Amino acid sequence: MAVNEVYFMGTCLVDLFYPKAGLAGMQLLKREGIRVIYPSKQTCCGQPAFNSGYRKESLPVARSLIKCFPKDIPIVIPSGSCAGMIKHHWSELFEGESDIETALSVAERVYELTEFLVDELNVELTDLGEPTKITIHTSCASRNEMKIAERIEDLVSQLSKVEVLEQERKSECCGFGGTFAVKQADISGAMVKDKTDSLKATEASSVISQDCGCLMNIGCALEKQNSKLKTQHIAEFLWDRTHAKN
Amino acid sequence: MQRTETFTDRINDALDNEQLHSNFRSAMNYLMEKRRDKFPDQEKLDNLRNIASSIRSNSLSNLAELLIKLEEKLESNNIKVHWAETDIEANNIIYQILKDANAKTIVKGKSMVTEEIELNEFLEDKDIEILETDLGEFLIQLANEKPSHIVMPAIHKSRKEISRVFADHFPEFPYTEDVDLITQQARKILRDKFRQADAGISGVNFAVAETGTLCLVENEGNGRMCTTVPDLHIAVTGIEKVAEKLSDIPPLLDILTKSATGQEITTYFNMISSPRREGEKDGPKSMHVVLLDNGRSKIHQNNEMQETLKCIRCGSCMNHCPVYTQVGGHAYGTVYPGPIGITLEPQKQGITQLGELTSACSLCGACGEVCPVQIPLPKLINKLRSEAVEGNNKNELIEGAGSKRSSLELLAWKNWRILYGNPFIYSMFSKAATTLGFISPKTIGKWGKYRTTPIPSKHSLKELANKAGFDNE
Amino acid sequence: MNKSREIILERLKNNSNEIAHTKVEVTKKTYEWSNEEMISKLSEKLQLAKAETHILSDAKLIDWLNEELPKRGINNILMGASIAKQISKDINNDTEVLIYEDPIESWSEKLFNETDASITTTVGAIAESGSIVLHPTPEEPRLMSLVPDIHIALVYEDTLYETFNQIITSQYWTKNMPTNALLISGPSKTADIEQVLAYGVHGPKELIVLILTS
Repeated sequence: MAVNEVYFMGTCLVDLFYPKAGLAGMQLLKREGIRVIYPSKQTCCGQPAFNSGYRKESLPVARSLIKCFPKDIPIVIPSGSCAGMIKHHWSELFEGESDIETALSVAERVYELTEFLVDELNVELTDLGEPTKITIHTSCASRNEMKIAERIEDLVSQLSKVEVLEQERKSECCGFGGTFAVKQADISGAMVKDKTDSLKATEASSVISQDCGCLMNIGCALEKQNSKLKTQHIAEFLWDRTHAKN
Repeated sequence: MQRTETFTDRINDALDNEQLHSNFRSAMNYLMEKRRDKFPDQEKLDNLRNIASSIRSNSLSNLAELLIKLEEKLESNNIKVHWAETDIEANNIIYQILKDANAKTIVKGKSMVTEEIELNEFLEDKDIEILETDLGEFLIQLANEKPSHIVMPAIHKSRKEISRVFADHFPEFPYTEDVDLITQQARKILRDKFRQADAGISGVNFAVAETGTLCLVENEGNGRMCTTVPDLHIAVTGIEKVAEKLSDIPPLLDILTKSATGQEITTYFNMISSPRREGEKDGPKSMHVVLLDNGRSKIHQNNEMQETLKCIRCGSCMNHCPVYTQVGGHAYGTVYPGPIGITLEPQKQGITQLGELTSACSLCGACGEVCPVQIPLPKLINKLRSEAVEGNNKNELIEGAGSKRSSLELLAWKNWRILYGNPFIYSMFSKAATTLGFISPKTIGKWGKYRTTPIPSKHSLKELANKAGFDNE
Repeated sequence: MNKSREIILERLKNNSNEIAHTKVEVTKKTYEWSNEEMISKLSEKLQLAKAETHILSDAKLIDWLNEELPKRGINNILMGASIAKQISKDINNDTEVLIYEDPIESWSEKLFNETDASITTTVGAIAESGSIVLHPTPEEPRLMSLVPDIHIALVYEDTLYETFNQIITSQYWTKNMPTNALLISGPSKTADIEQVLAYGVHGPKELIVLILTS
């Protein structure tokens, strides 16, 4: 498809906690000749309240987001989870609402970042970085909802100096689940422990993922465990390794 | 069953139990791998699931009609049909049948629906001996426990634990951890019980309306023993288990056995259409079927949640559930655990009592991906969460709708909504958070027990995007 | 009780809004296997499930029995009247032929505790799943294939089917279901103890399938 401009939705998590990952995503797109628009009024897709059952509080937040994307152009999101919320769950959130058609027309245009880079832009990457060993964690949303988990592997496989080490039980949930990490903190804690154990066992230097929710969960757990294993979003990882630093 | 401990207590007990975690970890890995081996081709698998889902949806769409037809066919096959709206009614019906036949010793095949109505306790209270004969159920009956998985009831027990239970109850057999030896001992013990029992009780995997046939899957042979040897056979089934045609059975059987235990087919597939006929030399002389409602018809009326009833009880969802793997089946405190459990049980027993079960889920979606009949479990679980806190308490279809609304949590979400629903307010909040370097005074809940507290960056993405020259429209 | 029936059906009937679903037509699978291929697949699957399979001409059946039964310590073997008529004059003197003539009540102890093996016919076999199919009759009752430790099943090569669906349709099961139809795919087994497979739980410890060619 001939695309020359897209909206970029950072997500609430990226905006405050992983802004560099968001910026990297935008730069990756810009490099391909795309005009990237960052609507300044964007906030959140509404997922936190939706997953807690408070749909009435989630709706106004989702609605304010709709206003950010008036043009009929793709909306690229550096998160399988948020992309999944809009693309697959706004239909439930807006059920019976008068603006459901508008909401769905937004949902239709949503792409997760790696999905867009691979499927729509056929991006080609040259590895300028140092040899490194990484392990990849795909989010449940990118696997089960968006079904684009392999896109991260597609991109990484183009980096000649990156060795990917596979973790045991790689498709198991890391235990974040948004508010689940707070509401069932001990179960979530046990899950993140199993996940970090399997990640550490690969002896990779860093964990790369499409989702900052998982990265925050895993990263903060690793930090608590005093582990040297780093975490990084795929966009930042790719941008760091493929852009010429002057 | 009266439980004094809370859901949280049971979860904590489970999480503290290293042995339990290790047992479940290896068991779930085993079951997931076996299933994966049987479905190497995703496209073929999706096709099988589409077919199975369609068959089950068809049954549910025509449920009343099919039940009437099933009843007609069963009765014409000389199998008596009874309808029970509640668990107590079912127990009374079964007891009356046994009493009329003067049946005092019962052998029982594995049946989750009989666990649901607590049949064993009911009959034992009336001095009727009821013996579980599926090896896993037999072992946990000895240990005075409940099943922790709907297909492999003793999955929570290690070999050592089982050997101990066995040796304690049967001192005449020397203590052994040899699985073959324990199995042979159980065979010896149960053989005479089958032969001499007054009645056999079983569940039903599928009930075919077209021919009036009850279908049962098993590997051990105990199910056939229970349904063939004693003079009386009583089958108990949920009303949703009916299939329209015989031709529905091969695809359902195929995906059931592959999903449940990664088997091509179970050792025995038993299709019963009649008690002993004139001239036959074995088989029960009389047969009864109890059609149990126990909340199912109410779920059926709820269009949004009706798909819950498509379940064919394969156990795949719990095998793949990362939460179930951590806490095991008993933590849920319900007959059906795991994803199907937290979907079904709050609907059957009400949200007031069981609404909190839906919190035991990270919405990872693994269950929905493996369900052979495509029940959208994550969507239904999330819907129940919404019913629990925003539902209308006058909703007759879901008891306790709205009962879990907490004014504290509602306030938190209202604040969140003000913050995130209003770009101007959000931009102020964002400026404050990045400048000051924190979101809230302390970490929320027990986040900090397992993780460090994340710190907001010095600049938001909006600022960085602006600085880098990106347009905002 | 009837009141419950009415209450339940009333609730189920009142649901006028159906869940939208697309009716998927089940395409009847065919593999186009030859008879040899079916025999091969059937044997392979049965053996994987730890059943024993042998292919022999039906003329050789009695020889096989006379050689194998004593070898395996089978002193008596239970069968229906027709098979008994076929083989009783040629069978070994040391092998006692038991005919399932009387209702189970009169001799269950002997069946359970003193019967070494049984031999039954089948109505066919399914190659795809590795299953033999039995329709017990007054002559070959249900317990024959369940109680004795060893079950020998005779499958005729012209009754092989590719799939479960094929045998259902080819044999018109919907018109006339037997009191008990059985698919048997191996000796009895369990994995209830730490997922370790153990055989011979309550059903036969051994299943021997003889595929008879003419």
